[in-house]
Amino acid sequence: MSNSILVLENVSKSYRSVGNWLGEPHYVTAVDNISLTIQPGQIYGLVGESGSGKSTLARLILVLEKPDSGKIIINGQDINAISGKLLRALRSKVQMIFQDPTSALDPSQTVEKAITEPLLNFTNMKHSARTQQVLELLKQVQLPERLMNAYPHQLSGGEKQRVCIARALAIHPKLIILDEPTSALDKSTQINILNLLKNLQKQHGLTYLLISHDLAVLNYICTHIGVMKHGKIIEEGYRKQIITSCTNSYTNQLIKTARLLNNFSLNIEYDN
Amino acid sequence: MLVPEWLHTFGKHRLACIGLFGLVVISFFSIAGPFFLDGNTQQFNLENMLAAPSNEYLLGTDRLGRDLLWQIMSGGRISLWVGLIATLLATVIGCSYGIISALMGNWVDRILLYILDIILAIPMLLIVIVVQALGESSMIKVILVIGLTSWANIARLVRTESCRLLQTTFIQAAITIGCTPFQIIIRHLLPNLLSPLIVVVTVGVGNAILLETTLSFLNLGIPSTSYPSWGNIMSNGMSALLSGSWWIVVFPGLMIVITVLSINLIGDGLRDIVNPVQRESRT
Amino acid sequence: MWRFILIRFFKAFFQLLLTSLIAFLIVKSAPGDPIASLVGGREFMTDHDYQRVAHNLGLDRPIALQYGTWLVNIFQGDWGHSIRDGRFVSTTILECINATLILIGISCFFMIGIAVFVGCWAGLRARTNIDYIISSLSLISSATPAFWLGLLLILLFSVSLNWFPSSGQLPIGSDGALSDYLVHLTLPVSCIVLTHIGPYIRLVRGSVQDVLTTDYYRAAQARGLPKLVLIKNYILPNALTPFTVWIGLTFPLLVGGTFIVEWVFGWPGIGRLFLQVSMARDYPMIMGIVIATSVLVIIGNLLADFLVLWLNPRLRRKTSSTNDND
Ligand SMILES: Nc1ncnc2c1ncn2[C@@H]1O[C@H](COP(=O)(O)OP(=O)(O)OP(=O)(O)O)[C@@H](O)[C@H]1O
Ligand SMILES: [Mg+2]
Repeated sequence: MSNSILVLENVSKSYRSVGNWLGEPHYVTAVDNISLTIQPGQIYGLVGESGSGKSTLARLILVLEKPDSGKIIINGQDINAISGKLLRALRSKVQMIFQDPTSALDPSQTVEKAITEPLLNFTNMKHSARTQQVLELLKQVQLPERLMNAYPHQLSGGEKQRVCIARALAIHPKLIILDEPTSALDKSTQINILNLLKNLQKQHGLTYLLISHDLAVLNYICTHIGVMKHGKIIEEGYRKQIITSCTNSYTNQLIKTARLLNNFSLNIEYDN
Repeated sequence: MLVPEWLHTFGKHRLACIGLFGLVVISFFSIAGPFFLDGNTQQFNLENMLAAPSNEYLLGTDRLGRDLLWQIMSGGRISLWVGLIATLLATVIGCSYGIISALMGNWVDRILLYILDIILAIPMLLIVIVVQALGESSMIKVILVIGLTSWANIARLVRTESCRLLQTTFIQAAITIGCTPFQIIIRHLLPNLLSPLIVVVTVGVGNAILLETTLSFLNLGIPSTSYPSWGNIMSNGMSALLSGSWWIVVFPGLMIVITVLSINLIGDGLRDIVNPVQRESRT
Repeated sequence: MWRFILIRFFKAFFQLLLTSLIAFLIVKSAPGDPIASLVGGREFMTDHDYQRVAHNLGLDRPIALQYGTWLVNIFQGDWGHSIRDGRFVSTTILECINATLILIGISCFFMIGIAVFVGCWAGLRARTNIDYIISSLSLISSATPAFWLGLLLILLFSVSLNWFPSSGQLPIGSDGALSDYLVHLTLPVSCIVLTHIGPYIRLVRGSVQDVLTTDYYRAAQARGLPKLVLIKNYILPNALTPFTVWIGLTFPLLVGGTFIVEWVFGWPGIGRLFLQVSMARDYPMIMGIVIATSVLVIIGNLLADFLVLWLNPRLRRKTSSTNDND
């Protein structure tokens, strides 16, 4: 328990949704009493239908929003109990890759500036060392050096997502949350990015929380899978166990759909 | 890399280029012009009172026999500076107001927006005239008054744009990589506000010049005893107008029209240029 | 919808309150001692007299209270006396406001008519020479100071050609006054229209062009509807809403412009009165005119807002069924 990287205890979050002007506001429970533990080195996949609260969960873990109740513990620290400098220091431990790489990059920043920014915030490297580091990161995510001075609108979707990955890697996080990192990309780019993520995970000993609609993606890369519905995790376990012998009817349906759409059976023989 | 691209598109915009050319000529005319003229022509010369345009005095002389060309040149310098500085002041206030409103959100935002709506419906010219009529006027006071009464449009634009930007993913991403609110404003908000801001600021300079000349014309702006400005030159020429000395009123006004027109053309061009860049970078 | 109207009235009330507060504070912070100026200087009165006068005038009370008293008086119709000639502020303003209303009304009428007509014309013929000429003229229009154009018109039509008088009209109502009045109106109205119409033409032109590229307009066109029907049923309704919104938003500017034009042409409205009393530092008059003008502007804004509501049935339904929390 003490060496788990992320622990959620009974976390809930609800939003006030459009109500009447004077009448009762009514609430949507986006995350409903979720408990979850992720150990270092795991790739935890979270799957669920649209609106089941996956992105909300990610935002809660990144302290972009506060939970209504429950505890979120990262690296042994309760993130809602700290603020200011400590919270900022903690942010270097958890990074996020967003679904849409286009809107996740500031259109007024060059690639170099975007990747340098976390270095500026968390390290006191010299200018030349920073440039060196950026070059190194670009190599790691397999981007050519000439893109250093490009603006986001001059890049393709896959290139942009690689920039985002390099940016997240820059400050050596322990946990990376990936909210549908490949759903805005075409199939072949998707596979490339997934392979890249897989390699990086091995190289740096990272932990991933990977959110996706697509069971095939999770099956390709994850070690563990959790299934979310209406803000609750209804089933979780090892990938093979979920894919081959799930107990829940909703999970079963998801697997069936994934099989139908992918036109062949989900290959369980990936060596995760 | 963005800047040359920008300039390139600007270069293809014919009207904007004409505007820029006009503005450059007028600025040069106003700032460097007086150095090319015989300094004596600015002296009172009672033998040449109200002389019509001629070879000696290209644009004629005023009531006191001073060369109108020289006056218009130095008046232009004042009018341009006042317009520019007053608009910068308005931009600073408007940006701060808009960004604070957007950043605070919730009820603070609503109250600030409500106040902004109310301010926009106040006939500011009246307030400006009252302030200027009570008490002595000076150039600093004119700049302050114009700046303090014309920021509301800018604030509204900045607030709308900031609200839009604050909801974008890249601001959330900036938080996750450890930026402080101040760093977010400096590194992400302001650079992205720049392009829509440039357009309103450009048009704002034109309006500030119009307001300054109107005030000076009413003897409520730059005092004619301190500096000549396009407005107070015309104001001085009013009495001579009915006796047929048309040049004192016509030429400074023409300069105002050309200046403001040039500025508005540039603003128009920038509007056309800024939008495609934004569209391109968003998709 | 009723809620919308109620909220709108509420806002108008706040606008009035804020303007009055600004006017009050400006006048209060004006240099010079109002008590001392009554007798021509502080040295002409003893300290005792000074305090007595201050007390009688209510000037020793806290500023918030003074503002409150003044506001209550305004609402009760007691607008005070002019410092200069002792006339009632309220009656003087009432006498002058007619002339201003006529000037603004007629100018608005022509401006809206011309802007809609010319704007449509340019929009339908986009990128032709006529369009370029109209667009250039409207750009020049918004770069022209109203007072300067006024002077030019006087110079040209009154001084050189002697077609129109520049000032000195008979009051309306006397014999032969109507034609005289109209003749005197020509130059000021032209001046206001010419210097304010630019943005409106460009706006109409822009919205007409926007409509021309929509699918529903193309579909209507493909059905072979006659051009006039297209203009009346498709183009105008869509161009009118932003136009009306814009008129409401820029109404304060129009009123300001009218004041200057009144001054240049010696038109006996509250604009000229305002400039006269401002230069004479006649405080009660200044405050009275600021309030009166604000009422005028706020009524104009209200009218524009309700007109938008009336033009736009969609908006009407929306505001009645959903909340406007956002
Ligand atoms: N800022 C917000 N205000 C109000 N309601 C919200 C907000 N954010 C999310 N919700 C609601 O919370 C619920 C969960 O949203 P969330 O974005 O977490 O779903 P998701 O699982 O990520 O869906 P998707 O797979 O489509 O991204 C939805 O019903 C949504 O309407
Ligand atoms: Mg989501």
